[in-house]
Amino acid sequence: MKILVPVKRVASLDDEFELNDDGRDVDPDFCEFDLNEFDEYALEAAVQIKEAAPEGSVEVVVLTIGPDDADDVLRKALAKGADRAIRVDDAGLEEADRVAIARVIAKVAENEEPGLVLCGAQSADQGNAQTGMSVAALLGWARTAVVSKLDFTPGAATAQVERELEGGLVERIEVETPAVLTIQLGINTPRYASLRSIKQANAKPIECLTPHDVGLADAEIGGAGALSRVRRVFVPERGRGEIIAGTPSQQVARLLEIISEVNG
Amino acid sequence: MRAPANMAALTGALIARGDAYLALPAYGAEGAEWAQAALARLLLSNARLKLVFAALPFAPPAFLALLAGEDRPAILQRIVRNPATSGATLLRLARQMDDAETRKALAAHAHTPAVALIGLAMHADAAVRAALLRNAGTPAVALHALLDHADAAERAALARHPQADADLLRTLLAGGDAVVRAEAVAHPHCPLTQVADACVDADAAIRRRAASNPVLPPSLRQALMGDPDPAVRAEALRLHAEGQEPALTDDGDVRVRRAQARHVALPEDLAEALSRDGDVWVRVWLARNPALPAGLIQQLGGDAEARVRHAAGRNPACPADVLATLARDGDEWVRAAVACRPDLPVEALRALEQEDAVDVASAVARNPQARDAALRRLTRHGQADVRRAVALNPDAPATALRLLLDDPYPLNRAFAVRHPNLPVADAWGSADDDAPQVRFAVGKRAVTHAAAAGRAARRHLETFPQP
Amino acid sequence: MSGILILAEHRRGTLRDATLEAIGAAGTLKAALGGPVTVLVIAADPAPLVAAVSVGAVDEVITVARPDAATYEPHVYEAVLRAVIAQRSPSLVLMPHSVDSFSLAPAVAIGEGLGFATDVFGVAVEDGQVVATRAGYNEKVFVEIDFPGRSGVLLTLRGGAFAPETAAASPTVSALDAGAGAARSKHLDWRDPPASGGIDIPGSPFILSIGRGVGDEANVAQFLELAEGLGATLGCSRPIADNGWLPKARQVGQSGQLAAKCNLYIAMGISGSVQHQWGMKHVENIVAINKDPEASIFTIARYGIVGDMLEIAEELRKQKGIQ
Repeated sequence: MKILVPVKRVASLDDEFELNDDGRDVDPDFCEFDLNEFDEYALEAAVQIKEAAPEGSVEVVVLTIGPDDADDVLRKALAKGADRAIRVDDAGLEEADRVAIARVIAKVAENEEPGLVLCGAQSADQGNAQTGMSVAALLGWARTAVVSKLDFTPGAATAQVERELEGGLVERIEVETPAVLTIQLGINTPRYASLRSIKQANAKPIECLTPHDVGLADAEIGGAGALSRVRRVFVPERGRGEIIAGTPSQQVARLLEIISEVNG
Repeated sequence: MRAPANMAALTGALIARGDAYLALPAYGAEGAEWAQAALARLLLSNARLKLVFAALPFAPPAFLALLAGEDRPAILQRIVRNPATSGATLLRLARQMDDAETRKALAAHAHTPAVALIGLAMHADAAVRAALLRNAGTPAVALHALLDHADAAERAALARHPQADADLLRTLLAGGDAVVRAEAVAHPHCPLTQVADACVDADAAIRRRAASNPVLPPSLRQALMGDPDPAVRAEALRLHAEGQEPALTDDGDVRVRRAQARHVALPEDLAEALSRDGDVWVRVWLARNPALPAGLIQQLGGDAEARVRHAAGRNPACPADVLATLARDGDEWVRAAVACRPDLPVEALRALEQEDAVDVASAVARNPQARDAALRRLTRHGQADVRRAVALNPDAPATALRLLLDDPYPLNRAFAVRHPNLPVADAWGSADDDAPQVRFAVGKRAVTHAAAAGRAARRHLETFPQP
Repeated sequence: MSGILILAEHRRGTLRDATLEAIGAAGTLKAALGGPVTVLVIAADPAPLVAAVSVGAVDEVITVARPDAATYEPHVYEAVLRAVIAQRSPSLVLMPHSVDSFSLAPAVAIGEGLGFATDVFGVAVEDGQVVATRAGYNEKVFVEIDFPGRSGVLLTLRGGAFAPETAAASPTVSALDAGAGAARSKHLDWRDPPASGGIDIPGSPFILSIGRGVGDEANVAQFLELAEGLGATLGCSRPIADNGWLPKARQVGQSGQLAAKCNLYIAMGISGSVQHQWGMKHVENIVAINKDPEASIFTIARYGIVGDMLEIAEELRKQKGIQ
């Protein structure tokens, strides 16, 4: 059985940054890129299922959509226990939103026929919480979002999961498989990659495909497959909080006010 | 591969590797001048890295000076804010950039030369004035210039500024605002007559601030210790009167007792009374007090509250037998308090070396007396923090540090590379590490090593002149 | 093609406040988009929830009673909601940006070909078209999103962004039989969050945290004392725990604890490394106290004090009468 783990290369912005000339995104020179943290937990969950199963019976496949720089996050995933990596190049996907990205992932899933797709609950940079559940919808598979505990034996017809709700309430449910689950932070402790496994990962091949290669039609690619469009990005007026001025005693008087306001 | 021992060979190797993070520490280094142009090409080859390096507080000042020749305003603004930027580079940027953000950053920078700060004070907007008032280097002349249009909050900030002189403080005191006066009378440059007046002021807040004046004469301090307001009495106690035993007596107010418990010249009978105080914080402060007699430390080391026992274990004067007892305490945090102490009796340390509890293990890992075998074991602990603690141990042996070079956590590898006990040859082996911060640390170690070798060689030549 | 449809979210028999916020948002958009405003209640027994959603601008309540909707089930909800949308063709569908919606909204938007945006905190109507605003890059920028070519739009709304509507109204109430679709997951049980004790960074609503700015181990005890006096849990940054000045259980950040339930976080003398921010940047009320006005922590703080943490702490003790 395969487990597919789609991962995202997320951006964290420097404290100061500039926008692109078209005003629709941030200039990538001001971005530090890394593997989405939520996806690290999804990957770890997949690797733990593999390690609990008979050797060789489960294959963990990671997938990302992006330019060749995004190979870095796939190598990181390989170093942390993924067996195989696929990158779908994002040329032609400039106008894609999360749903259009999910169309690519769903096609790869149709081709790979995994028993489970595990995604991060959301991305650390944009936080749409759309991609994973869109993949489920496109595949027509059962789905559960924000999974904080996962019990699944490869081959079983159902998985037992806990989903974490607002305020820490937990619901325990049983879900049909194959399923798409999005994974919450804290479900496990993601491992660090050892230097040796990083070096081994660097030697592994990455399958590189285009949206056409995976079987998408033109009407599904990029903006054509999107349900939304970014019109404009702007820096909010109150990017910085309220600076409390004055002498220490005046500052502290205001601070105590804030404490009692917030704590009620 | 061996680390190149001389700067010329090292610089050549760094350039050949083509890694900007690894090469960055070499820019401007003694002996690397010949390769400056090639290094510059490497370091300036990537738009993202130029922005990153401009903000990097460990960047060599010579490289920041080079980077200041770039056109992109975002890079220049980062250089002006970078604490490593030299005064000369700041002056150069000050001449070419005159936007509000740059002026504010210059006014706040610790390396901005005094003459430039004075210039900024002459035509300062509110943000620049605020930055100048926060900059400890702003000279008194500039402060006087700011006084003219200062509002109440700025006058209070002037009265707190370390460079404020007696004239400025006198003017501020004459202004009469209670908040400003409270700041001025706490200032070490405040004229003593004014401080003395403040000690008998009707306003308790003014007396409290006067009591916190670090140059308050002992006679005034003694008088304030009889003040009717407990906050004033506590404040007067806080600063230690060197060579002067204050008349400390039982006080009904818990604030005063907590302050007394921290006083180094505590009379024994009062210390005795405080050790039985019902307030746990009084006992915590007392247990930490380095002037406390051994008997009382021992007593507090047996306190029912773990916080108090922890404090006793952190007391530098804690006797060896008490340390040994605390090393067997049932509370992990109490054992951790003594586990990092080099004066912990050896048998007690040996017992703690076996523990895996995270706070104890990381304390043992930092202990210079810990055995090499124990430290090697701790480099394989499940917690990254414990493993890193080995790299924070000044006496960590190379055998343990080498193991950390394979640590999965990049920060731990960087710490190991920086450790002087790790041979440079081993550090150089991590030159192709995955993490930029580790490669930067490797470059830094190699450059520092080659520079020291170069200086030693030159000294050798001077001592033994060649024929 | 008109009207606003709101999906009611309820749990264990109680309507969630977020639904009232969605009704409030609909009230402000009704004039520009045209009515009616309809609330859909899906439950095993919807009747007891009707009164709670009969508020504000609501014109109509549709109830769907299904035994397989005793608890939220995404596949059942999807079938019902899609049937109602197909029948009514609303120009806007609203639901809370909640864990339940995560597994529902994408399937409905894709299935019905609706414009789609999530975690939206601003909605405008320009020339009859919906424009949504949300945050991006970890709240550092705002993003305006439009939906060219889409006649209907589905938005999930950020909690607290829209004023809840509570004024009673008298909508028409009709029951609808929407029987298609089957459950593909089964509710087993609920588990309430555990009560916390001891040093509990993840469970604490109020954390006072100290960093390098504390300077010396001797200064640490006064912050324990101060935190106790303020009713806060004392936290710290990595260097403080690395030095052994406070136990690891108090360390906030990537190699430490996540301040998961925190509502007020006071960061004193913490510069705000990425590593530390991981554990606390999501907290709604962050107060940063730091000598360095350029410290990163100020970029995520709601309130900032540029000053010496020791001095601020001393003043706090004075004003709170701790010492």
